[in-house]
Amino acid sequence: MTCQDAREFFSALVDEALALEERALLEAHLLSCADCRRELERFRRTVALLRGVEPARAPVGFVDRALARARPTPWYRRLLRRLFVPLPVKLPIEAAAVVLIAVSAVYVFQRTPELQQAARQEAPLRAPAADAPLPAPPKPETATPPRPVPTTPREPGPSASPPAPSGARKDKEGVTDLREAAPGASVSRDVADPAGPVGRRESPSAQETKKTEATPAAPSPLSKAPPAGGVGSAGASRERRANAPEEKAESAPAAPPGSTVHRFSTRALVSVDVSGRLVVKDRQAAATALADLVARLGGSQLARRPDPGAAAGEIVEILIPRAAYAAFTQELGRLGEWRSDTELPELPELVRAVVHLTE
Amino acid sequence: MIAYQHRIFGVALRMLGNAAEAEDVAQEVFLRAHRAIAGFRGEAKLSTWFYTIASRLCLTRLGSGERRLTRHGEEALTHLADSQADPVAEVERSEIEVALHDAIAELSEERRIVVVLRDLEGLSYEEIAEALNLELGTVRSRLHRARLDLKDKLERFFP
Repeated sequence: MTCQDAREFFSALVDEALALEERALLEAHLLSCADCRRELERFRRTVALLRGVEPARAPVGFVDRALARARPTPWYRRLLRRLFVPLPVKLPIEAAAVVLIAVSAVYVFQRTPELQQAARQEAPLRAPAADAPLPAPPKPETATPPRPVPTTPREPGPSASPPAPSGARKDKEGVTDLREAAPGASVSRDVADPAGPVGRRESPSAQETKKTEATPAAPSPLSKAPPAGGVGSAGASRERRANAPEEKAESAPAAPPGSTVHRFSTRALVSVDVSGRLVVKDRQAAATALADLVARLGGSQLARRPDPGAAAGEIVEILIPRAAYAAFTQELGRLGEWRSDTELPELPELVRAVVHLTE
Repeated sequence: MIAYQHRIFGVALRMLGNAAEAEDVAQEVFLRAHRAIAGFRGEAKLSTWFYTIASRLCLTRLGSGERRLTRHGEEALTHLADSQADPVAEVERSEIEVALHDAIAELSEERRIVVVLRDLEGLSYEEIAEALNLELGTVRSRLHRARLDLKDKLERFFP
């Protein structure tokens, strides 16, 4: 046995795992080899050192922590861990996402007029609908000549147009549309309720009913004439209109193609395109003539009320088609002295004019 | 778990050289044993089963890329772990003991686990072969080479 062979048996010898024959051969070699004896001694001391190492001890609380780790984690802790851990990474990302969504929502809201309008209409849509019942669909009536009613400034529309054949269903739809578009609006029903033929008169009972109503109705889409130019509760309506943002809503459904029916747009109800002063000798007669003139030109009278700025004056609000505006101003010159205070450079299709009648 | 906690923790500490990491691995050993206790057939001793899990977890962690990045400071971490366990003993520890711990830490992972299981934990060759899924001859060879390495490193302390 060589020294190399003998030293290969050192581990087995230390562990007492050598077979008897191998052990005998090794011991024989060790007797004759001092180097191997010295090496074996060092080997034994190394192993003794190893076996003399003090055993490690688990830290205090090890078992408790291991048991806690073995318990199933509650679902909310798992959820929180998934959502927020690692906190330095996920929290900034989630905060940035929230800010981004908020900014996007504001941006979309600002860039979408429909959303803004819906938001404005949402609040007023509820209250009036609850306490202001819809008017019954107006019944078709026989056309009668227009008659100015100073105390209840309802002005019938021109009588030249045939009765609108619209049925009750159409009227109901129109009413519903208007209510949705301008909930709680105090616009005169006559302004937005041309369901009957233009120029026809309404029965006194119907007028009484409509005086108390605040919900506008839709114009008859089939009528070829301008809507009846009723004035309604003009003064009060105008004041309420000035304070009621909901009255800026859109009005009746669109007229059929080719029809000359005028739609009372929001713009027409809230903005003045032309205003001026008409100085006449007989204010009552001039008012009647003005109503006839408006009806003849295809327009409609919206309101008529006393002029708070003039003791012997009154204000007449009318809608007149732009095509007939030149003839309108020309005829005004015949009724009296017409002075235009305000006139937009570009008139809309339907011109809203305010005439201050003074004597 | 109470009976084996120190031994399993000791194996992990000698192998990983870091007390916190050793505790994590030791807890994982008992966690896995708890989950797989139904599959324990009882063919081996329970202690051997624990050592099997611990050895594999340690070797897996040592072989991971993350672990390799921290191996440079392993020796220092060993001292730190020991000093945390018993600062007074650290002061009183003889130079040869420090050299022994360093020598163990410098062994290759394959040899270190065999030495730890045999000379520090007292497992038999057969139990080591079973725990490490090795041939008996391989266990003997690795153990012998590991002891020779240690002897060479500690030789200056022997007359």
